[in-house]
Amino acid sequence: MLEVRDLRIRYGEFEAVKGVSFEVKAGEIFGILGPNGAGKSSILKAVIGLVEYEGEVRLMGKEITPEMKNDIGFVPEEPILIESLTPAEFFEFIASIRGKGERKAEVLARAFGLEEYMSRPIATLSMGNRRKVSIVSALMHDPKFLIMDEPLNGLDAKSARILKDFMRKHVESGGAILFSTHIMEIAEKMCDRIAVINEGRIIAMGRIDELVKDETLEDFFLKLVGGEDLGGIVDAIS
Amino acid sequence: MRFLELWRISKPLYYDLILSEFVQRRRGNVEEVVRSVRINAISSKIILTIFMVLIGVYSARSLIDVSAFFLMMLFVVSFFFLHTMTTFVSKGFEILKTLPLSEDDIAKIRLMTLFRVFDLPLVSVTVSFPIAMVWYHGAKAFLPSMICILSVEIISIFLSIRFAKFFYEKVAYSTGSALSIILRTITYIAWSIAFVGIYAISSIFSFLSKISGFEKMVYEFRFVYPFNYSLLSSGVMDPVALLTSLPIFALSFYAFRLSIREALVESRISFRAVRFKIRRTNPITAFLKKDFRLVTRNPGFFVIVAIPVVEAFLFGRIIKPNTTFDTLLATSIILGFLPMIPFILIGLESWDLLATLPFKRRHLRLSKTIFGCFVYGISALVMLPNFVPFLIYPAVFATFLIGLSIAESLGATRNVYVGLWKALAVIVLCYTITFIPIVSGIVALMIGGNVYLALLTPALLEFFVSLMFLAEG
Repeated sequence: MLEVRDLRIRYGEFEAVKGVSFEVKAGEIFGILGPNGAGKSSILKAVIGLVEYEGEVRLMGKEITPEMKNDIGFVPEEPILIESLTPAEFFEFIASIRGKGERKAEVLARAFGLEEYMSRPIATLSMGNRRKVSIVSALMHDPKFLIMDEPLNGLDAKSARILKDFMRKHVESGGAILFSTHIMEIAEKMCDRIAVINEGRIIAMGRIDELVKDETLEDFFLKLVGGEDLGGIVDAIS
Repeated sequence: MRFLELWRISKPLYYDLILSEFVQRRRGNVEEVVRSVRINAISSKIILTIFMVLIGVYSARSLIDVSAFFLMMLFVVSFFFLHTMTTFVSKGFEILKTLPLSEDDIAKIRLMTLFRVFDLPLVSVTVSFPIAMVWYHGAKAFLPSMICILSVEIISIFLSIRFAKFFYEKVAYSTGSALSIILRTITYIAWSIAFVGIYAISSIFSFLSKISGFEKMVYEFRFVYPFNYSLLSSGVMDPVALLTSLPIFALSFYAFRLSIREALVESRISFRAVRFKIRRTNPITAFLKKDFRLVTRNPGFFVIVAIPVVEAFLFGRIIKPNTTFDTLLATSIILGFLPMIPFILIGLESWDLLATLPFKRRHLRLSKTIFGCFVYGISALVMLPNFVPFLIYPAVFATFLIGLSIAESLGATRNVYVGLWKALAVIVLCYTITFIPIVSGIVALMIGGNVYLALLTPALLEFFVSLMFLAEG
C-alpha cells in the first residue's frame, strides 16, 4: 500500500533521515522503532507531507496528492488541533473539508468518552482528551491508510484498548498502519513487521519472530542501538 | 526565600505567560514564535512606556491635559494587557507546586509575575509624572501627584484582572449557542467603541486645553474624577477635590487588597455536558465559520479585524464627511487597513493541520475574501446613507482575491516571515488594486466628470479580472 524509497530529510545542515526505504503492505501494522531523535516522527511527517524530503513516497502506486489525503488518517505525536474551537466544532470543520465523516465522528467521540467535553474549547482539555480529539479526527473519514505517531501516549486504559482493537480490525479488513513507538511491549503486541531506526538509518527490518530469537524485543532493540549494558548507569543514578 | 530569588523565578513564568497564547495559535511554527516572542514583548513594552511617559510629561503643563492623562491611564492599563492578563488568570503555574517552595513563596511569585506584565510602563510613569508635575507646578505637587498616579494604577490593575476574568469565564471561551456568539460579538464591539470613545474624550480634553478659558473647566468639575485628581496632583489642596478624591483613595486600598486576592486565585470555567450533533457544511462555509469563531474568541484579533468598522464609525459618523471628496478620503482611510485582514486570517491558519487535509486552495482564498468583504460591508453600512463606499465594493473583492492568489503563487501566504520583498510586492499590488477606483474618482472630481461612474467602472473591471483567479486550485 505504501512504498518509501531512499527517503532523506534535512533540517538545515542536519540530515535527520539518511536514505530510508521500506514498504507497508495492505493488512499489516508496520512499526517504526527507535530511540528519541532517531528520525521516526520525521519519516511519518514526510509521508503525510508535513516536512520536505528527497526520495519517493507512493501510496497505492501513486504519488500522494492533496486529493489522496482522504485515504490517509494521521495521528501526530503532538496533537495538531485548533485550540479555540470545541471538539464538536473541530470535527465539523474537518468533516466539511473532507466532505465526509460527521456520523462516524459522533460514534467515535462517544466511544472515546468525549461527550461531556464536546462543548469545551480544546485549549482547556487535558492531554489525554486532546489526544482523543486528534484520534477521532484521524479516523472519522474511514481512511484506508493510517499513520500513527505514538498514538497510545496519554490515553486511559479503556481508550487504549479500544484503539488497539480498532487498529487490529482495521488491518484485518484490508487497511494498513504505519505506526511509531518507543515502547517495546506495545510494538511486540501490535506490529506485524518492524523497522528499527537509529541516527536516521534503518538498522534492522522484518517480522518480529524472525528478528528476535531467544530474547525479548527490548533486549534485541537495546543491543542494536547500543544500550545493552545499562547496569552501570542504573547504579550511578541510584 | 529572598525577594530577589523569587523575582528571578517569576521571570520564566512571565515569558511562559506571553508565550502560551502565541504557541496555542501557531503550534506548527513554535520555534519562530519562541525566537520572536521575547523581543515582541519587550519592544511593545518599551513603545508603550515611551508613549505613556511622553504623554504624562507633556500633559503636566496644564490641568485639563492632566485630567485627560488620568483618564487615559485608567483606560490603557485596564485594557492594553487584556490578552496577557486573560492567560494569567487562567494559569495555575503548576510547575511551582512541584518545587520546594512554600505556599507563601508561590503566592509572591504569582504576584511578581503579574507585576512583570506592567512593570516598565508603570514604574516609568510613577517616576516621570511626579517629576514633570514638580517642574510645572512646584515641589508641593510631588507627593500628591505620586499618590494620585499610584491610586489610578492600582485601580487599573484591579480592573484589568476583573476584565480578564470576565473575558475568560464569560466571553472568550463561551461556546455553543448562537446567543453566546452574539453576546461575545456585542461585548467586543462595546469594548472597541469604549476604546475609541475614551480616546476621543481625552483628545477632546486635549483640544479644549488649547482654547483659552477651558482650563477653568477643571475647577468647575473638580467634584468628579479625573478633574479632582488633576487638581490635587498640581498641589492645590482644594477641599471639594480632596473630599471627592477620598472615596477613590479608599477604593484604591480596597482594590489593592482585592487585586492580590483575585490574582492568587486562577479562573475556572464550568461547562455543562450538551447533546451534540456534528453538521457538515461546504468547505468555504467551514473556513468562514472557523475564522469567525477564532476572531470572536480572541479580543486581540477582534479589535484588529474591527479596525475598518471603527474607522468608518469615526470618519463616517463622528466626523461627518460633507463633500464627495471628504467621503473618498474617509473611504481611503478604511481601505488603508482593510487589505491586511485576509492576510492576518491566513496567518492564523493551522498549516500543519491543513497539510493533512484534502482542502482546495481556491476555497481557502475565497473564504478569506468573503470574510474581508463582510468586514468592509459593515464599514460601508456604517457610512450610510452615503453610497460611495458601496461603489468600490467590487474592487475590494478583487483586491482580496487577486492579492491572496498572487501571494500564494509567490509563496508568501504560508509563512509571512519568509520573503520580505515578496510580501512587500503583494502589499503594493493590493493597494494598487484598491486605490485605482479612488484615484479615478478624485480625477473625475477634479475635471468635473461623473464621480460615481469613475468609481464603479474600474472597480467592476477589477472584479471581472479577479474572477479568473477563482478557477485555479
